Amino acid sequence: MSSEISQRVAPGSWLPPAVWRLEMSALAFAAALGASAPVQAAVPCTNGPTFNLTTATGNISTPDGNSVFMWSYRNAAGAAFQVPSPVLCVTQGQTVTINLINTALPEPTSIVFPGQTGVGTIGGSPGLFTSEIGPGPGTVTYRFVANEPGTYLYESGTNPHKQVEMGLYGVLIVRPSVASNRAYTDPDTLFDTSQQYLLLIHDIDPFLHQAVERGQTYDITAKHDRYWTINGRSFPDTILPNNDPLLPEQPYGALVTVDEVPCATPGSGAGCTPAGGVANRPALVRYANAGLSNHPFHPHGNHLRVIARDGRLLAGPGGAGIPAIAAMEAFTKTIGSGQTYDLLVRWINEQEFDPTLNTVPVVIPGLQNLVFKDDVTVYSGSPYLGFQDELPPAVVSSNDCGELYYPWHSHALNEFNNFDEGFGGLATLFRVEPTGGCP
Amino acid sequence: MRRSLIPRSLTRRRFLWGVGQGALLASLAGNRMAQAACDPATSPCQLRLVATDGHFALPGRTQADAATDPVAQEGPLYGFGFSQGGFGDSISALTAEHKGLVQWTAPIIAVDEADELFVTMTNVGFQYRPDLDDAHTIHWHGFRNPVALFDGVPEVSIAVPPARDFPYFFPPRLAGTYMYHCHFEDVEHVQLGMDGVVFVRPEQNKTGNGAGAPIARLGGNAGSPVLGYAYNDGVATSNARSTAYDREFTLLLNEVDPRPHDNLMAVQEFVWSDYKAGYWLINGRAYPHTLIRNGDTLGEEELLVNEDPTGQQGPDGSETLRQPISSLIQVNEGDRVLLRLVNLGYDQQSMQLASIPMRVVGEDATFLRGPGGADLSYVTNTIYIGPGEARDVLFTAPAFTGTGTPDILTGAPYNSHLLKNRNVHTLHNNGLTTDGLGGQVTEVWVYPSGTLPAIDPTNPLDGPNRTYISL
Amino acid sequence: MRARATRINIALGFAAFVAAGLPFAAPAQAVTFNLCASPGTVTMPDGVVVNIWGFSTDDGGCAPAQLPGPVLIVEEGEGVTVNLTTNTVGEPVTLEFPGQEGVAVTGTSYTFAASAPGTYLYEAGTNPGIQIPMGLYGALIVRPAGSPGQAYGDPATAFDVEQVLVLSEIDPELNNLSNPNTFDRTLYNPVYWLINGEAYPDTDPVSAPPDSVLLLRYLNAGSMHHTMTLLGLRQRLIAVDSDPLVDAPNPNLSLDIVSHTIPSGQTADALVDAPAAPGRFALYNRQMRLTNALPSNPAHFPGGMLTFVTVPAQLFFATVANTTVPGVLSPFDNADIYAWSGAAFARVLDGTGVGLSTTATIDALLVADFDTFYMSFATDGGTTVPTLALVQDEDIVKYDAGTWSLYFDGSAVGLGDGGGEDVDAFEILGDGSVLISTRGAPTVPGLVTPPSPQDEDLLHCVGTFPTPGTCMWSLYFEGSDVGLSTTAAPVDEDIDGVAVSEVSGVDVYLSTVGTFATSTLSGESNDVLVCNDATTGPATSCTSFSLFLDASAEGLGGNIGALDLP
Repeated sequence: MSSEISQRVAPGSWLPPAVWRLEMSALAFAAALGASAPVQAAVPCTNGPTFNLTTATGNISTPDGNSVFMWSYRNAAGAAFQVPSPVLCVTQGQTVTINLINTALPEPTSIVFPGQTGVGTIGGSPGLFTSEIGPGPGTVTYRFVANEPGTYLYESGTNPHKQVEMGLYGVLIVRPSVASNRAYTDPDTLFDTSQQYLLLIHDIDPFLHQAVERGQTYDITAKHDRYWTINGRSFPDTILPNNDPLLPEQPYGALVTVDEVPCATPGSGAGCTPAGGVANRPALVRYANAGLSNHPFHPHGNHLRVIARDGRLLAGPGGAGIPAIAAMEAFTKTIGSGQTYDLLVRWINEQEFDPTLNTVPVVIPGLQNLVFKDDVTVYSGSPYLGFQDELPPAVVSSNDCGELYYPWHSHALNEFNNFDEGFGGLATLFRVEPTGGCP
Repeated sequence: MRRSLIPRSLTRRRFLWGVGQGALLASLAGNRMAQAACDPATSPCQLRLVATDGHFALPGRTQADAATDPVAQEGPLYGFGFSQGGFGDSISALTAEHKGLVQWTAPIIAVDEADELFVTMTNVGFQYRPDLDDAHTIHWHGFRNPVALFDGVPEVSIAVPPARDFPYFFPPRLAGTYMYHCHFEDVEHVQLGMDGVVFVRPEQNKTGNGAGAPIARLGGNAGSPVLGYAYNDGVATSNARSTAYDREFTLLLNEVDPRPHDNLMAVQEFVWSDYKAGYWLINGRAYPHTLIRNGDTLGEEELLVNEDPTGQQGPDGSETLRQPISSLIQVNEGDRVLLRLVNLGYDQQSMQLASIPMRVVGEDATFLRGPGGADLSYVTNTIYIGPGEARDVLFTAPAFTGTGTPDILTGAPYNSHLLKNRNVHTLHNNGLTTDGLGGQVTEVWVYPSGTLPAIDPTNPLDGPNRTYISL
Repeated sequence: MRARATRINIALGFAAFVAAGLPFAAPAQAVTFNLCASPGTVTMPDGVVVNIWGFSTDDGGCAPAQLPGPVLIVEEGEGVTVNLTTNTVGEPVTLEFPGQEGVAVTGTSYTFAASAPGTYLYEAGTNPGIQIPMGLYGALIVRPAGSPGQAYGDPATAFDVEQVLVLSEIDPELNNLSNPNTFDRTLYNPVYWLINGEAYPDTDPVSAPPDSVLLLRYLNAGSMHHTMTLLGLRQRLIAVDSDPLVDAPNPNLSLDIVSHTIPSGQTADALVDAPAAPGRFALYNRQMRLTNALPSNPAHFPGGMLTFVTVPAQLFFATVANTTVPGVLSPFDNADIYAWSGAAFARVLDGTGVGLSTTATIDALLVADFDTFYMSFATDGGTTVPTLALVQDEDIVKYDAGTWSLYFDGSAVGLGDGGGEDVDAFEILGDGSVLISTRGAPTVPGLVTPPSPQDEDLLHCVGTFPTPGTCMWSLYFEGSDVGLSTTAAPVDEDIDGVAVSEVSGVDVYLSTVGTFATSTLSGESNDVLVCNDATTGPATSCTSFSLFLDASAEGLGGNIGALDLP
């Protein structure tokens, strides 16, 4: 789906590529950090089981200063244009009804629900994948019973090669009926409900969006991505909080924050037994790939435990769920187009590195002899979780309380960019706070 | 004089005149080392990695293909990378020895589980782009790193500027295959070549297990029938789920889009979202170079690069070998073979060994066993591996059949099994092919039982990716 | 173009159903296939002809090259010999059998033991960068010994029907070179995306009976990965690259998934539980490779790597009143069109969704496609149809993917405005001529009387449609000849629904306004009866009668007022 650069001419209305080699990203990064450290984002739900959605068009911002025209679904009741579409949350067993009106698009649209069975429609006209609606005042209704908990996509079933690219996608979360602090029925899927995160991935060829905006020919065969988003934002915008006023059309952040799981007996040193109970409760991360490409998503610093795929626990029909069968630790996960995964993550400070009790066995050089990229950082100045130390005078740090940061990003490193600016694109940060969190 | 790639430049016939029987790789002055050696060879392991730039050879882009103008885009390709220096050397000594002479891919690092690893990385700057003051880092990918300072991501820790070094510390605790790479402007630095394989040997090598697996030769047991284990599998070697092996090979996959490399030499920018691969490599080489064995000086002649950018183009005695890691897999029938596959390119690949089934026992340094003991390993003929992923793959070399092909260098007969990227549209070198192939292709040569000697870890030649030019 | 793989004991077509219990010949110890590799062509949906090199069977002569090659089916444990008897592609071709061990090669003869059940590719081993894009690949299926109807010798892998899905791509710039080896490989850019050698809309649907288990055998013969999504149903992954996830006594590791990436060269097997009700479920490439060639091409979208898992309808119908149809979402409307699979019901057209008012009533219909319908309405004063204003009850309109048109103008062919000449049943025959029945006794020009046509008759209108149309009228079916003539409540044998099957002989499917009784069969207004092996014309006869749908036995009340066969 690639094309030679000679066929592409950046439109004059756009900012030219950065003059300084890979430095613009730092200014964006600094802007994202501001004067305070990033705040965690959690999954914002629109609760069902009945939803009224309409179509909308608008623009999203990219960190390199560009603007991309998008199509999306939004909540009908007075909500603004947003990308991605709203996160719809229901409880297992509910009958989900989605009423869709299409007033904003120049062509019919629809919604399909990959992973759901027994989806019926009321109204609408027959379309290739499902019943479609509009443009106009009419409504099409989709109805199904959410039988199985999990993370699912919903997206357009009309001209999907265009409409899904344009932004008509979102996530449907089905909570298990047995308890809202489990990802699935199985008690081993218990998670810390204050640490539930969604990473909804998408890829964008801005020239295709421009063609739609201008009513020109849409050529999916020439798709060549320049922007990659998580929850509708490109890094470093992904680390801004939900509903950040800088990004009114992109209300969902993607920063993943956990507290460390300390040793059961603090001070017991390397190889300690982790504390149990609530302190040991993992965060839940839901991956979903609405993009048209597969993306190899790589978290730094820690394995995650993959517990489910496409809304089903990784356990055979006879299995008792994790840890009995097939859940396993994983680092990089290539998330296929249209796939979802559910993962649990803890950060266990097994080594208990500490400035007095267990120092790192190397002499860290003076920081003035090292480079802090573009003099902007989130580093605390100290290698120890929970501690801060002096940084060289020119360096600006947004570190809060000695928390650690690790990037989580696509390992197709050409996707770790915003067009031509480095350290952007399909990435977010994992933030590990010392026990008790930052004050 | 330009040499064309087809058909003369690297057919098997040329191996007939192979020389260098028993020549040690290190004897070629300035040549790079395939495997990093702990310096000194004691525990804990200490390594010195040097970050710099240099040139590399690809089919169609060899030293002999270069035009008179060294900046023209026809000779060896420009890149960055890591090579190994002396742990106690001064920065100026390392600069004199390594600047502009870096290797592809970076040295293979092997370390034992529960041993600590100290890697001091020294940035000696760029020989060919002295105007660039890029810093470098080392990121050990896939490793549970409790100290972000050692994770190598500049924006959330530090980076190492030219003429400085930094002591990285890794306490490896989990066996498996990982990779390491620079994370400073990584889309560029990784593509330019700052990639290598690192793997951790399981404790079971040193202890065996009570279930019928002896201490391995890599654990110090010289007479052991097992060279090593991939994981702490806890089962007898006779068990189908054993991860015991007799020979091991690392295969680091990546791609090259020649444009950013040539652009950098020409002091030009590159728009990274324009990325499109034109070469596909295993261990830094493209087929047919993947088959060249260590010490085969005639074959290695293809790979030699003149270290002096203003020097003559063509052989003048000062060339060095930049790509010391072969991908040829030579085994005896019945050998248990471990392939450590790593992908540091930007595309997903499908590596197919059509005639030998492979069992994937580990992914991303995670042993494929469920928490309750369920066996999650799987058998396939095609390994699907995405960027940033690793696979530990075991196969048993099938029986030698027929009369085989006589090995040009050793004389011993072998059966050849092709290991190729099944994304067949990648089987070329920027449009050029040799016998219809190019890119990520290598071969498994199966000899009759007893042909190749057993791997002896005390022999400095017997590291991973061991090749034989004489018997 | 789709030649059959011939083997000593069994010949099997390409898109075959294999029902459980299909008797296999006693497995032979050894089986031989003779294949040719030869140049040929395939035609894409836009009419572009693409050169291929394809395998085909050699039955004492090469069948035309096919894409993909013939499906080879063997049994676990058999010794298999594949002879490449003829090669006319112009360069050496060798065969490769990924997943088979110990393949012995003697000249152009390949011998191996099919040691493990599964889904495998066979393909070119030489010059793969050209020969595989040119089309030299096919599927090899190994059945588990002694376990017919199972994919892997485990009951959890049992299936009722199966479908081979060979995925691949075509770059016509490569294939159509006179010497493909001169292609500049840096420019490889496929624009056709294929399932079993075809691009949508030429892909075959994957048909499964209601409540059956369907086995999808994916093989990626292409040179890039493809992620396949199934909408509306789940697929249970039971094997990857023929390594079963169901392998008792090991734990069952099969995965119930939505999308699966099949990398190039790999295969995958998945089971799908087909529902009871009729439906079509998209099975498609989630990289959205759903186009043919470039946007300028009229067949551009929908196209590509797309097909539908289909539980076929046995019957389409509309109800006289707003009858509840079991298993279907309310509200119910007599301007909706429903389908019956033989086991359950579904709605295929929502009348108000396409702009008909809630007072519209369909009293005759024909379903041409998922988005193409012909209908006639019951209201004597006219029915409002979008863009057509008022449509009379003697007219037939066509809805085609959002566009309404007048297909049959009743008054132009002699049907009057009165309610008696309301078309309340119609069919379009294979030759394009039209059958109708009316609410009362019609008078049409040129129809010889006696006998006068009645409401229980079918009139045949031979002409050209859509409008303006004229026709030659004749009597096609005389109801009274076969015992349908009574109108005395509750009996009313006025035909109000008709469909004709011309597959083998002529079978006439009918519905009546009230109850009916022929010489051998009686039933209700919502039943569908069949006049089997009919002799049509003024001396109508039926070899026999049968009941095709006993609606009340299926939970359907009310009265069927329009019907069609798929």
